[in-house]
Amino acid sequence: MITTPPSSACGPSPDRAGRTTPSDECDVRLDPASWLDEHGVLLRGDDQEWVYRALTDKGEAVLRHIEAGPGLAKLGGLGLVETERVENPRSVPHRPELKTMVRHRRIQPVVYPTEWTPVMWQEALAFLCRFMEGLASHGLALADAHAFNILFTPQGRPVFIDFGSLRVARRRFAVSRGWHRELRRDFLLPLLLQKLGCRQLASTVACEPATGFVKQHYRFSPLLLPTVAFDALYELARLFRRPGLYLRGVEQALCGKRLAPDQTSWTNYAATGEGWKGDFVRALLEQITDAPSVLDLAGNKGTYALFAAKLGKRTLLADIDAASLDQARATAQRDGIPLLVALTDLCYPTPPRGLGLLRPGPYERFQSDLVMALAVSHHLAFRRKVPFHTFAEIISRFARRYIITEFVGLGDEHVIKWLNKGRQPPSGYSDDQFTQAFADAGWRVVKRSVRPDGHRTLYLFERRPD
Amino acid sequence: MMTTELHPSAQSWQDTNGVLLRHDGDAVDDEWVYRGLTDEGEKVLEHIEATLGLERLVKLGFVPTERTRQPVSGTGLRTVLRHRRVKRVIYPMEWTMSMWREALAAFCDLSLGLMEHGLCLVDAEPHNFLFDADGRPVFIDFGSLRLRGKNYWMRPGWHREFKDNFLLPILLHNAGLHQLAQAVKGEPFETAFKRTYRWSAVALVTIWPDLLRWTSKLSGNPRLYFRVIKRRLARPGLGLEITEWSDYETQGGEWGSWKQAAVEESLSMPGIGSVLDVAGNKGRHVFEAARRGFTTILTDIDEVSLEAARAEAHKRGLRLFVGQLDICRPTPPWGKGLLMENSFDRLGADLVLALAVSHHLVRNVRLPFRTFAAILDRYSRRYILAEYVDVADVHVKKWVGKRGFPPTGYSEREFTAAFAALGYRAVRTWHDVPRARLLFLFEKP
Repeated sequence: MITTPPSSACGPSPDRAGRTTPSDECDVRLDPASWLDEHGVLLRGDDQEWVYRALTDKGEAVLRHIEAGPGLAKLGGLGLVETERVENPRSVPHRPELKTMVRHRRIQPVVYPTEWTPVMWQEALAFLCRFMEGLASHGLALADAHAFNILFTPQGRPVFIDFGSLRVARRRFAVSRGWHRELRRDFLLPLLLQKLGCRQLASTVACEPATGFVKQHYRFSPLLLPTVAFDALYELARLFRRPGLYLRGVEQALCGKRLAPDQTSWTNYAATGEGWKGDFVRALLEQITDAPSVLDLAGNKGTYALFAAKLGKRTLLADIDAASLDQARATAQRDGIPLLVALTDLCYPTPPRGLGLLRPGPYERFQSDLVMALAVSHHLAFRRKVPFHTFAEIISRFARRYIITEFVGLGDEHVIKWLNKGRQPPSGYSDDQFTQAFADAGWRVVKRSVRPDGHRTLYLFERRPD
Repeated sequence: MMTTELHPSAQSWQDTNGVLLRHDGDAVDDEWVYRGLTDEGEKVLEHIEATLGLERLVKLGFVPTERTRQPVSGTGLRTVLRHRRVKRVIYPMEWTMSMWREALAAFCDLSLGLMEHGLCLVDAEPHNFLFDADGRPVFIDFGSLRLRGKNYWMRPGWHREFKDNFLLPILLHNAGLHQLAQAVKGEPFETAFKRTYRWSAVALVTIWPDLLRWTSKLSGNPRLYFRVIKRRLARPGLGLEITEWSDYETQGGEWGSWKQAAVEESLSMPGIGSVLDVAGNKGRHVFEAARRGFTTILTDIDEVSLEAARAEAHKRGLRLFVGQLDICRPTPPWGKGLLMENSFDRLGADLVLALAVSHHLVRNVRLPFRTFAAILDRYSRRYILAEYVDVADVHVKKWVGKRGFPPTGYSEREFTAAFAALGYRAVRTWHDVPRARLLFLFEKP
């Protein structure tokens, strides 16, 4: 079972402080996705709770500076992911000269910036600015301003995960020009576009790698103009050696007012058949005890995801509508429920990315023991022409053990509206084809419930043991 | 011929003509791809058989296709076609610009041929073409055939799709916007750029196909449209983008022979049926694999070199799959549900060659050896032949001290350790002492 970090995820808890960590008994291996970093290499162990990092001399110097100054616990308070020194580490395979090791609390599931809502982007930028300012006050700085260095915890809080990006500040002005340029390209540009109302372009830019076309060429286009003010602010702050002026200015300008995401047809979507469906789904979530992780696909405002999270399951809510996800996050934070959200189009999830595609895609990152996909198959079939066997395949790739899903028949009130508008059902649109598609994908029906009017059916599928 | 029951494939699009089918479980028919036809599809098939015939359709550029009698599970589909499987799928984002032009020419020819017989193609997608190992594009989508009049081609919706998906990269390339053409080529489905370029200066390069469509429509002559498009955009010999690798000659003389001998010895290892050369430049190392009858794939970042390799393979009568691919940035899975496979799954081979490339990647993109090994591992099914170039090498020693080269851990030990960490063992080593280069043949048991 994958354990979620405790609510005090940053900074070692008192009982951990000072004790010898168990990782000297744990085998570690080099992570191929780890960059060629002057400060160290990332390692994976068999335990799911920690990620390890072996430090080079340069990395060790940073660690010593931290330990002699603020300490790892204080950096945790600023926003560094929970990090502690590993006493008596085992030797690193193929790199025996790396003697110093730290470990970081692993956050799962990993939601990439390409799956953040605009409000999450704002929160991440505000966090990064404050983190940088906090570091500067301790004589430290960040080498990178990548959005990928930030993860959201289930408590909805951003944390900084890249210890390899920490540097001992050499200059009195800790924010380097390179860092500002990277911030401008990776953070300011998509958020400025979002603010200016170019939402589609903003989301394209946010999803682009650093080598993407817009990120490479925006300097030669009118897109540069809105960023010029930030260049001026940077130069001013540099002149007076006040990083806070720049970092707070950026934060105020782009994060001061909450962005209103696009209103889509799903923003005010009212779920159908709550009573019947709610009873069935909630009962299953309570009964299924061997599914510690839950993914709610196209879960809108997270009615069932929040219920699953309340039961103590590690829950991820994925939807195409940012406004609904923001609402779900707000509800979760208000009620103290740990819930992660991901802006995901079920038909077009974020592909694996990065060098060698070593940053995994959503099927690996979001894979859960139980997957819910309720009231969605008919929308995909009618609106996007997704056949049931394709739908079943997509859901299967996310699910390890169970699937709760729904078939909506041609007699349903919503489907009748579409039929009256002249929309044709896809060939083979029937309950039999629906279950056959899941059977072909390796699933068996464990439970079903038909709505009293007979036009909707809920299924609990279990993966066949073969 | 496989006799197991067929099921609808998850990768198949919702199609009025029918669905692609797959076998039970993991069974794959290496020779054929199956398609079950709906009533609509059956009508198209009957029309084809009554007019031009399936054989003639193949001559027009369609993938070899025939009727078959395979049972289909629970779908009610009675008629099943099978299409000859093209053994390696190279998607349009991996085509060179010459391959785009050839595919466009094939599309124009096929469209003109179908028009004669009251048929049309409803989709104007380059993804409906595959390049076979003989270098020829074949049309694979029977589901795109419809019984329609000749004016179907001139519909605005059809033309927009044709222009955005097929013509735009070529139009941009012709206008000298090479980098933009590459970016658009790599877009597998409708993106923000394709939705918005009409309101930018880029739209200027697409005006003339619109005018041509109107001229053809008003004169009632759709043939004019395809003939002009083919003449203007699909003629061979139009420029390709020249890069630093276009005239890159890695080695010559005795040294080249030494390396070629190592390649030939590696090709003789047991269990090899397919070979992939990543960053293979003009393909000098893969011709021998093709000559031995292996399924051979050559990829490189430089399209000029790939075109030279295609021409050479054609001259020698060798079967070679070619794709323009950056070794560091493989093609991710794409399409609905990411069900279209990534380049690792499509182009993977029993033996992967990666010669004279690791040192460039370390210098240019700071790629660690372990990441290099991890990428090759995902392409390889069994063997990897990889070259380590030491800092004492005549080329590499010029880089020392510049741009942080060599980085920490640039050593032969680190190189082999990266492969060892993934479970490979070096079964054969070749050492070129004067040039401080080493070739390792790694095997994953």
